[in-house]
Amino acid sequence: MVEELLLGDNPFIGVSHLAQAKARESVGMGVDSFVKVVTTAWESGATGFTFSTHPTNLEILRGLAGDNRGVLTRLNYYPLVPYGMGYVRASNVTGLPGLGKMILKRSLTKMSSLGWLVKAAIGLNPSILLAMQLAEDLAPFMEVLPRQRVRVVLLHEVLTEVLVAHDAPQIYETLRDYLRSSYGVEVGLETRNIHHLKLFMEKHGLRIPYIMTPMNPLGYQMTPDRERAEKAIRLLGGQSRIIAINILASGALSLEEAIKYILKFDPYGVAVGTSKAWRARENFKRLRDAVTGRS
Amino acid sequence: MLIEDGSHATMVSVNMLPDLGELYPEGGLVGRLDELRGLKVVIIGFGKMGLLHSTILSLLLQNPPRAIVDKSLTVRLGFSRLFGKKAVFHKNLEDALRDGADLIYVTTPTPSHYPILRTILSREDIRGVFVEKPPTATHIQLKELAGAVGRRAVMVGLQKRYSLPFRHGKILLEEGAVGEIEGVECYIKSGDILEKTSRFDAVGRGVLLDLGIHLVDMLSWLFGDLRVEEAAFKSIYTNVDDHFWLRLSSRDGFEIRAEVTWSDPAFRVPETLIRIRGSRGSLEVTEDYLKITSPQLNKAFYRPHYYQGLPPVLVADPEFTIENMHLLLRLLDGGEPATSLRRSEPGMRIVEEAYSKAEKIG
Repeated sequence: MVEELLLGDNPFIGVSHLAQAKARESVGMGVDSFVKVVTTAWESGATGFTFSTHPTNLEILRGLAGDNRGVLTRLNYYPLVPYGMGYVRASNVTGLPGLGKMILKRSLTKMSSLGWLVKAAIGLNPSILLAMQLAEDLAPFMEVLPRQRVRVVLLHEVLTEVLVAHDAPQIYETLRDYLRSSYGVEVGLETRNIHHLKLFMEKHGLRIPYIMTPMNPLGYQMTPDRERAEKAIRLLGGQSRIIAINILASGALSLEEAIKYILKFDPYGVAVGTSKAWRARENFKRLRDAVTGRS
Repeated sequence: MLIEDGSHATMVSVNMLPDLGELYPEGGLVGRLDELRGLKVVIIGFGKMGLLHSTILSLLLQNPPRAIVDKSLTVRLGFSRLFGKKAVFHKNLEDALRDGADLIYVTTPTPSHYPILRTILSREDIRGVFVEKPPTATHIQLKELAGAVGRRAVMVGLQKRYSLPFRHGKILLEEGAVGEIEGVECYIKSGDILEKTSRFDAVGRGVLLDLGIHLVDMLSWLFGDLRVEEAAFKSIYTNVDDHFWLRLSSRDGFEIRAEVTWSDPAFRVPETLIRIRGSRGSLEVTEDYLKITSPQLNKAFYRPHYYQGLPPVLVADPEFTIENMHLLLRLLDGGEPATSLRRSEPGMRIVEEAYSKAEKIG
């Protein structure tokens, strides 16, 4: 049974898997209107918010904390780290070695993590430095969010695909342990290569509590093809909580088509993004009715 | 559909696309990946692009690169500890080549492409080479290298040509879907450089070479022989060109106006847009969509129309995987890659001509 109906943040931070021009229009709408979208989504049936650690999302959450504390404390949260584009831009200016050195310097100033720093030095383990950087990205969000409402921290695909491709489960394990000890949260993965993730998990006997991945009847962003992605989702659904994203195939499908397809898989969560309050009202009401069998 | 005008995108729209074999011949690789088992891949330069290609190839081939070369101790130490013993990191190219290599990726900073490619192309045993765009810092370097390729598959990372909307656009233009071309407006823009940096001082050239090469390469591909009529640039954050304007003329008599910038904060990710006015309609195409207005066809196609269950690996944009698949297919079957060194020459010639004619403004 679908337990979580999540509002996605893509339109708030200028991400569109349909067209960048559309994303640029959304961004211009401003934080106040996005706060209204979150509030309307909650009123219409959304149970949570999934977002990248982008500054705009922090402003939205602070906006909620100021004027809509009731909504803030009732939603569940599924933050994604890192905000990949931020690091890509930084590396355009400094290069990747420069970025690595910057992360190292920042980590060395975190005396609160002295024990972990010693572990990093003794084991020559840069995963710990990476974990410290992710924790720092999360820190301002964790200050605003009610801690018990943060269900999981998801590693963004920019990181997931790298560690799966390079067969490095130890990176996931270190990040999981560090974030667990820092914030007491579970750590999940977001991926657009679900079949490969399944192979990786099987190979290493890895259990991932939450997995976020695209699911739509067009097979858009489902790899290596829709059939194998579906098979992986069904199999992993037995042991992980699956959160479906891009269910509308970036707007190529109607909500009805998407719902009909999604319900066949019975995911734990479904995420939908919009930058408009009227659409949030319409979509979450229809989604809520669909998952509760009222339509 | 939510995409446009309230009507929904359906499989009907997809059926209006060209045959998949024509639009995406790289799909033929999917059933043949086993033939590439054990391929020895070496990556030179493990920055953002090296990591991207390494990730795509590892997922496609189910096999991480044999060796990675990087001058930076931070990168070598950091990634070797992150990845464990699966990839061997070297400081020098020669050390990496000692164990043999079938396919080499050159993803280092631009000024080093030429000497590295010279070294690689002097060896007979290497079957394929990928070099990130721009292939070289100057057109003359590229011409020299193109002559040394022989029968090997040597390809430049001009991935926009592997984007399906652009391929669709080319097919429509070749079919004369908008009639005689009367004029073209286009741009490639990003918000990649929004703070001061001296990173580009070494190459002495900026956005036109680094990002604009995608656009001028595609203009040459779509419209054939072009010449630079006017060029101007502005420096904003770097000591080189951050914003470039071009006016080009075609042999068929129409004019192209192009704008290139990496310093537009509105562009979270790069976008390439080409708008073509024809005697019987118009065509607008980006990485994300294609819109055509003509007596025969009045339609918009978006990413979800093109990429349904393909490509088999998705890391960043789909065109990155497709370009890698293209090169792997050439390794198997022979033949010149669509963006070979030779085929990248017209774009680099335009870049060279533009820099020689450019006037600095602002």
